[in-house]
Amino acid sequence: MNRIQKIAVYNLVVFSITSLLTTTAVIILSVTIGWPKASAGLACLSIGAFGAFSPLIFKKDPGAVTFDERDRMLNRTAALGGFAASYLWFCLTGTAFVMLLSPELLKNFGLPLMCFGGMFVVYIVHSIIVLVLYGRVSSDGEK
Amino acid sequence: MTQADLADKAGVTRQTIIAIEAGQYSPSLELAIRIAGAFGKKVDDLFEYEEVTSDNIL
Repeated sequence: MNRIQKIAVYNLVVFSITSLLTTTAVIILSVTIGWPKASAGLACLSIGAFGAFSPLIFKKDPGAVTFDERDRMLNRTAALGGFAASYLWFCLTGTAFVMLLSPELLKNFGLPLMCFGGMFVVYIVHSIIVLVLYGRVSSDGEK
Repeated sequence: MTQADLADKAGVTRQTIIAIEAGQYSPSLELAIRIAGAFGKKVDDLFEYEEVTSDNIL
Protein backbone atom coordinates (compact mmCIF):
# COMPACT_ATOMS: atom_id res chain seq x y z
CA MET A 1 0.00 0.00 0.00
CA ASN A 2 1.53 3.29 -1.08
CA ARG A 3 1.30 6.70 0.61
CA ILE A 4 -1.72 7.82 -1.42
CA GLN A 5 -3.66 4.67 -0.50
CA LYS A 6 -2.80 5.11 3.18
CA ILE A 7 -4.01 8.72 3.10
CA ALA A 8 -7.21 7.57 1.35
CA VAL A 9 -7.87 4.93 4.04
CA TYR A 10 -7.18 7.47 6.79
CA ASN A 11 -9.50 10.08 5.23
CA LEU A 12 -12.20 7.48 4.64
CA VAL A 13 -12.11 6.40 8.29
CA VAL A 14 -12.00 9.94 9.70
CA PHE A 15 -14.77 11.37 7.52
CA SER A 16 -16.99 8.29 7.78
CA ILE A 17 -16.76 8.33 11.59
CA THR A 18 -17.39 12.09 11.63
CA SER A 19 -20.45 11.77 9.39
CA LEU A 20 -21.80 8.87 11.46
CA LEU A 21 -21.26 10.64 14.81
CA THR A 22 -22.76 13.91 13.55
CA THR A 23 -25.85 12.16 12.20
CA THR A 24 -26.27 10.20 15.44
CA ALA A 25 -25.77 13.31 17.60
CA VAL A 26 -28.28 15.38 15.62
CA ILE A 27 -30.89 12.59 15.73
CA ILE A 28 -30.44 12.00 19.48
CA LEU A 29 -30.53 15.73 20.27
CA SER A 30 -33.57 16.32 18.09
CA VAL A 31 -35.42 13.61 20.03
CA THR A 32 -34.26 14.76 23.47
CA ILE A 33 -34.14 18.58 23.29
CA GLY A 34 -35.84 19.23 19.96
CA TRP A 35 -35.21 21.80 17.25
CA PRO A 36 -33.50 24.23 16.74
CA LYS A 37 -31.18 23.37 19.67
CA ALA A 38 -30.46 19.98 18.10
CA SER A 39 -28.33 21.76 15.52
CA ALA A 40 -25.66 21.86 18.28
CA GLY A 41 -24.96 18.26 17.19
CA LEU A 42 -23.22 19.76 14.17
CA ALA A 43 -20.31 20.46 16.53
CA CYS A 44 -19.29 16.83 15.88
CA LEU A 45 -18.28 17.98 12.39
CA SER A 46 -15.14 19.43 13.98
CA ILE A 47 -13.79 15.86 14.33
CA GLY A 48 -13.26 16.05 10.58
CA ALA A 49 -10.37 18.45 11.23
CA PHE A 50 -8.25 15.36 11.94
CA GLY A 51 -8.32 14.79 8.19
CA ALA A 52 -5.92 17.70 7.81
CA PHE A 53 -3.21 15.73 9.63
CA SER A 54 -2.95 12.98 7.00
CA PRO A 55 0.00 14.54 5.09
CA LEU A 56 1.86 14.90 8.40
CA ILE A 57 1.16 11.34 9.54
CA PHE A 58 2.09 9.73 6.21
CA LYS A 59 5.27 11.53 5.26
CA LYS A 60 7.04 11.19 1.93
CA ASP A 61 10.13 9.00 1.77
CA PRO A 62 12.99 11.39 1.00
CA GLY A 63 14.57 10.64 -2.35
CA ALA A 64 11.98 8.05 -3.42
CA VAL A 65 9.47 8.64 -6.20
CA THR A 66 6.08 8.71 -4.47
CA PHE A 67 3.91 10.31 -7.17
CA ASP A 68 4.16 9.75 -10.91
CA GLU A 69 2.06 10.13 -14.05
CA ARG A 70 -0.16 7.14 -13.22
CA ASP A 71 -0.84 8.48 -9.73
CA ARG A 72 -1.67 11.84 -11.29
CA MET A 73 -4.15 10.16 -13.67
CA LEU A 74 -5.81 8.14 -10.89
CA ASN A 75 -6.03 11.21 -8.65
CA ARG A 76 -7.58 13.24 -11.45
CA THR A 77 -10.25 10.57 -11.93
CA ALA A 78 -10.88 10.39 -8.17
CA ALA A 79 -11.09 14.19 -7.86
CA LEU A 80 -13.56 14.34 -10.74
CA GLY A 81 -15.70 11.67 -9.04
CA GLY A 82 -15.49 13.52 -5.73
CA PHE A 83 -16.59 16.83 -7.18
CA ALA A 84 -19.36 15.19 -9.22
CA ALA A 85 -20.66 13.61 -6.01
CA SER A 86 -20.46 16.93 -4.16
CA TYR A 87 -22.37 18.63 -6.99
CA LEU A 88 -25.09 16.00 -6.59
CA TRP A 89 -24.99 16.53 -2.81
CA PHE A 90 -25.46 20.30 -3.14
CA CYS A 91 -28.30 19.91 -5.65
CA LEU A 92 -30.17 17.33 -3.56
CA THR A 93 -29.65 18.88 -0.12
CA GLY A 94 -30.21 22.40 -1.43
CA THR A 95 -33.52 21.45 -2.99
CA ALA A 96 -34.63 19.34 -0.02
CA PHE A 97 -33.65 21.90 2.63
CA VAL A 98 -35.28 24.85 0.88
CA MET A 99 -38.48 22.85 0.52
CA LEU A 100 -38.52 21.27 3.98
CA LEU A 101 -36.77 23.57 6.46
CA SER A 102 -37.90 26.84 7.95
CA PRO A 103 -35.71 29.91 7.25
CA GLU A 104 -34.25 29.74 10.77
CA LEU A 105 -33.38 26.04 10.51
CA LEU A 106 -32.01 26.58 7.04
CA LYS A 107 -29.60 29.20 8.40
CA ASN A 108 -28.58 27.39 11.58
CA PHE A 109 -28.65 23.79 10.40
CA GLY A 110 -29.09 23.52 6.64
CA LEU A 111 -26.24 25.69 5.42
CA PRO A 112 -23.51 24.30 7.74
CA LEU A 113 -24.62 20.76 6.94
CA MET A 114 -24.60 21.48 3.21
CA CYS A 115 -21.14 23.06 3.26
CA PHE A 116 -19.36 20.62 5.60
CA GLY A 117 -21.30 17.65 4.21
CA GLY A 118 -20.24 18.63 0.71
CA MET A 119 -16.61 18.69 1.79
CA PHE A 120 -16.93 15.28 3.46
CA VAL A 121 -18.62 13.84 0.37
CA VAL A 122 -15.67 15.01 -1.74
CA TYR A 123 -13.14 13.33 0.57
CA ILE A 124 -15.13 10.12 1.06
CA VAL A 125 -15.86 9.58 -2.65
CA HIS A 126 -12.30 10.60 -3.60
CA SER A 127 -10.88 8.07 -1.11
CA ILE A 128 -13.17 5.26 -2.28
CA ILE A 129 -12.31 5.85 -5.96
CA VAL A 130 -8.57 5.99 -5.15
CA LEU A 131 -8.78 2.69 -3.26
CA VAL A 132 -10.83 1.02 -6.01
CA LEU A 133 -8.52 2.19 -8.81
CA TYR A 134 -5.33 1.21 -6.98
CA GLY A 135 -6.93 -2.02 -5.75
CA ARG A 136 -7.40 -3.22 -9.30
CA VAL A 137 -3.64 -3.42 -9.72
CA SER A 138 -2.70 -4.42 -6.19
CA SER A 139 -4.97 -7.46 -6.20
CA ASP A 140 -3.51 -8.73 -9.47
CA GLY A 141 0.09 -7.67 -9.58
CA GLU A 142 1.64 -6.48 -6.37
CA LYS A 143 2.06 -8.68 -3.31
CA MET B 1 16.93 -5.88 -13.45
CA THR B 2 14.25 -5.83 -10.76
CA GLN B 3 11.02 -3.86 -10.94
CA ALA B 4 12.37 -1.54 -8.25
CA ASP B 5 15.56 -0.88 -10.25
CA LEU B 6 13.56 -0.14 -13.39
CA ALA B 7 11.20 2.12 -11.43
CA ASP B 8 14.18 4.07 -10.07
CA LYS B 9 15.73 4.45 -13.51
CA ALA B 10 12.45 5.50 -15.13
CA GLY B 11 11.54 7.85 -12.28
CA VAL B 12 8.22 6.19 -11.43
CA THR B 13 6.85 4.05 -8.63
CA ARG B 14 7.13 0.26 -8.65
CA GLN B 15 3.33 0.02 -8.78
CA THR B 16 3.38 1.79 -12.14
CA ILE B 17 5.89 -0.72 -13.54
CA ILE B 18 3.68 -3.55 -12.25
CA ALA B 19 0.61 -1.98 -13.89
CA ILE B 20 2.43 -1.58 -17.22
CA GLU B 21 3.64 -5.21 -17.12
CA ALA B 22 0.10 -6.38 -16.36
CA GLY B 23 -1.25 -4.39 -19.30
CA GLN B 24 -3.41 -2.30 -16.99
CA TYR B 25 -1.74 1.02 -17.70
CA SER B 26 -0.48 2.50 -20.94
CA PRO B 27 2.55 4.70 -20.25
CA SER B 28 2.96 8.12 -21.81
CA LEU B 29 5.38 8.43 -24.70
CA GLU B 30 7.89 10.13 -22.40
CA LEU B 31 7.76 7.28 -19.88
CA ALA B 32 7.95 4.66 -22.63
CA ILE B 33 11.13 6.34 -23.92
CA ARG B 34 12.60 6.44 -20.39
CA ILE B 35 11.84 2.74 -19.82
CA ALA B 36 13.30 1.81 -23.20
CA GLY B 37 16.36 3.92 -22.37
CA ALA B 38 16.79 2.06 -19.08
CA PHE B 39 17.16 -1.17 -21.08
CA GLY B 40 19.22 0.46 -23.84
CA LYS B 41 16.52 -0.41 -26.37
CA LYS B 42 14.15 1.44 -28.69
CA VAL B 43 10.53 1.97 -27.72
CA ASP B 44 9.44 -0.30 -30.59
CA ASP B 45 11.46 -3.17 -29.12
CA LEU B 46 9.56 -3.05 -25.82
CA PHE B 47 6.08 -1.84 -26.66
CA GLU B 48 3.67 -2.79 -29.39
CA TYR B 49 0.40 -1.18 -30.30
CA GLU B 50 -2.62 -3.41 -30.53
CA GLU B 51 -5.29 -1.70 -32.58
CA VAL B 52 -8.71 -1.67 -30.98
CA THR B 53 -11.28 -3.23 -33.28
CA SER B 54 -14.79 -4.52 -32.79
CA ASP B 55 -13.30 -8.03 -32.54
CA ASN B 56 -10.97 -7.42 -29.59
CA ILE B 57 -12.77 -4.66 -27.73
CA LEU B 58 -14.44 -7.09 -25.31
